[in-house]
Amino acid sequence: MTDQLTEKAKALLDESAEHMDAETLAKLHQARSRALESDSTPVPWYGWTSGGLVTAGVLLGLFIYQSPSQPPVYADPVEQEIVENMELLDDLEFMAWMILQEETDASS
Amino acid sequence: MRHGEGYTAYDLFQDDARVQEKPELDRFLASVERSAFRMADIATRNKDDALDIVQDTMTKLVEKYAHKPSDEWRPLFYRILQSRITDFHRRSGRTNRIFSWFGSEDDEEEVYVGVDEAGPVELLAERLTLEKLTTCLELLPVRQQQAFLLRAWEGFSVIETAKIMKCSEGSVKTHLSRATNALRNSVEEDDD
Repeated sequence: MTDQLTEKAKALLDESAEHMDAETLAKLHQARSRALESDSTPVPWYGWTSGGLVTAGVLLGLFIYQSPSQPPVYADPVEQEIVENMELLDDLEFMAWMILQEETDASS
Repeated sequence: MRHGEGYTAYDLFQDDARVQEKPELDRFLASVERSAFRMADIATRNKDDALDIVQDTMTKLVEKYAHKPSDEWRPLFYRILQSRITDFHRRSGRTNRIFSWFGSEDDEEEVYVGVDEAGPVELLAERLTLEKLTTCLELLPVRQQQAFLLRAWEGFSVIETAKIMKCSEGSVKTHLSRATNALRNSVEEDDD
């Protein structure tokens, strides 16, 4: 990836990012501020536990009151959580890969 | 969520307060927001959609990964961004419909094409303009866009790009090769 066409493309893209219009920059600033406003506090273990209990309660309620035409829910709340959080698991797998990469880099 | 209207001095004051709470994260987001917007803009061809994608990406990073070491933020950020762009194309249903003549997204596994060596690269590079580059990138399938922008612009390695795009290294090479050839052909065609 060192040919001159690619280098020129990179330079042009750098330049276009450097010279964005003021309106777009202001909107990006807003977007950043909104994102920073988000709650980034990690959920403590008791949060997950109480969340799991609530989920189990909801699942139990669904199990009792669901009509025959409704799709089945997972009886195991852990399994249900896994299905609902596939994206999170995917990200965790990515995190594990990055840590492994760092360890490999450090050892080499 | 749309952006823009009704932004007051009080809002700016509040923004500053938020920045003071998370200065390192703010600096990181400021360092990637422009390239993220350009990537999303090229992928969506719509500034409002691009801003929404960047906003979602920033928010998810802050919510889920702010507590992670700062050197892990960059690959995570671009991984989230690419996922959002892919989701956008899935929702809009454009990917296969509009760009179908470029070939299927699924038939590119492990087929490294190699770079077409036709024409002096130095001369082609001189003729490349931002407008031509943007037009060419916008016409590429989204996976080729991603591979090219992550490798050529952001400088991620093949293995990092593969992880970010959730595909094999062979696919990254194939996407990249096709993108580079398309760019080369685009410049050459303009000379004819």
